[in-house]
Amino acid sequence: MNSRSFPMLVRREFWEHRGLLWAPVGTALMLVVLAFLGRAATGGLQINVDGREADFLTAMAGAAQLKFFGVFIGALLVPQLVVALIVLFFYLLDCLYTERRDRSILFWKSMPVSDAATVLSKACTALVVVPLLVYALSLVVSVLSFAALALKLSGTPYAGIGTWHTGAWLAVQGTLLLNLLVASLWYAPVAAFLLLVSAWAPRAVLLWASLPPVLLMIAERTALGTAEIAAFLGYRLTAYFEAIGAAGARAASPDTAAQVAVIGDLYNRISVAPLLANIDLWLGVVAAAVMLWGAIRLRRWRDDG
Amino acid sequence: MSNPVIEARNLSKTYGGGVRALDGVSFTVQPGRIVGLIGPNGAGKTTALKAILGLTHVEGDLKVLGLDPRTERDQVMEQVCFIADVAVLPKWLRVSDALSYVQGVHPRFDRARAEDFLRRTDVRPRARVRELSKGMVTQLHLALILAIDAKLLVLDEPTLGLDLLYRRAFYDTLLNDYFDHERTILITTHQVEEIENLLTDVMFIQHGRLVLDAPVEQLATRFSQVLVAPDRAAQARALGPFHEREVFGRLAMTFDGRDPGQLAALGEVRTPSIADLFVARMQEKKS
Repeated sequence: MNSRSFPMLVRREFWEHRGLLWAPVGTALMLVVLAFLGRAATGGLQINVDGREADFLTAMAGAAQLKFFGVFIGALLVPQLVVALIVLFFYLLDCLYTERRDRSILFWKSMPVSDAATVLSKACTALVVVPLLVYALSLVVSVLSFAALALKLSGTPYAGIGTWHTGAWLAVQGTLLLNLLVASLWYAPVAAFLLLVSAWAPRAVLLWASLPPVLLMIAERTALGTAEIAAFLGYRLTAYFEAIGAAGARAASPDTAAQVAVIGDLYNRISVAPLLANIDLWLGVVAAAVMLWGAIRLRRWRDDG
Repeated sequence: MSNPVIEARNLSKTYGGGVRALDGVSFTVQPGRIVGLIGPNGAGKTTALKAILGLTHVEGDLKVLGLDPRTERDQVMEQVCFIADVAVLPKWLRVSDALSYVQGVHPRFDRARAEDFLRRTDVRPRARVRELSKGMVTQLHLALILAIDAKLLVLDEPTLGLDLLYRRAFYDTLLNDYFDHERTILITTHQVEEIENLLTDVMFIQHGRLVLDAPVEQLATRFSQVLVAPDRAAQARALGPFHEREVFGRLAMTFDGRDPGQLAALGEVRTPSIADLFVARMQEKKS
């Protein structure tokens, strides 16, 4: 493998699948525009505090305001991640199938680029490059969106809610980055499975990716009356979010709110350590490696005549 | 003599359903040759090329530039270029991006050379492949390939679906701007007339077997075609033509390895064109 050419292979992915760039950029733009133009930020607050302004201001001071700041910054990443996940799902299913369908695989294979480099460049695009792109965009979005909020609140009794905390911002972003990397590891087997289907399916990749698991679940239910496969797949698809949600709920529970004195403490409590210590995470990484190897072999030897 | 570019011994390939695409094919291609691999559709041409390019499993011994394309494909492709047919450049690719890509992945690519070639065409750098005509796509592909300093160029029906002007220009460019007697070109086509003037060697393939493998300069000494009047047909047949057909009331008989002086007594002797020879060889078994 020629390491010099790897960045070019990743660039190539963005040329072909322009959604990898414009979907995250479009989402980020939309969030910023909404923050500046939307009435939600101030409008929502006014309704909630109706007549109890003093109480609200007390409740939103100090540590509580800091917590609000942290949640505001962190929550902005969620819609960006959801859009990225949808785009990546279709990208992974498509990337090794389309080149066979339009026969452009013969052009790519006329270049001194190994099948391993090709498949790994696609996995790397989905698991590293796009997540980092979304993350970088979310940094900008968080600053601009909070600035929009602060701008709207300035000159009102609520101006204090718009107080900026650089230290907390850094702590939150650091935690989010770590979380994103763990998410990449957790979902690596899902990505590898989609690549495998993309490299193998004769046609109708979406059907081939979804139908076999569904049929297996039905077969298991009829034959054994159990739902182990469904439980396994559900675990793989949702465990990451459940773990994050649970950690987040613990950190944000009312009894800890008063103790949130350390800047960024809220997000420090959303620890990735339990996930990294989870053997299932690493078993998934091993499964991903095996499926990637399979996709590479398929691309190497598949002969569509 | 220098090391052969391709050495194939006993190549065999059976597809599912028992179809033998290659049936013990052996041949050697020396550097600096332009070899035409010619055969009817389904004769095994493409399978042979795919084997050389490491795109398909094949039995037998095979070395391309001293490497086995089945296990050392990545190294082979640094020295080998190929154009499969006109449709393989992806529709979404921009001309300038295509140049950047090849520049990024191919250590032997000279971008300036490709740009220089494209300037002489109507292919605009900002255009996407889907906006180009079939002929222009081929020009783009040719520009990419010409700018790569490769030892072996493999062309599989490179001008399929192009009009005459583009076809002619394609082969002219290939000869004038690319071929330099150190490079080797292997072409498959079923349009024999198009390439017969540029070949140095011909290989005919039929039903997965090579039925002719010879340098072009040998064809004139080896093969003769005689227009025989019907009353001399029996006399001519005694000399064992491997093919005959009727032309304007006379019989065009093709001989392999007969002395032209001996044949002159039968009628007008000429050297068959590669196209004539191809037809004769392909119909040989049937007649």
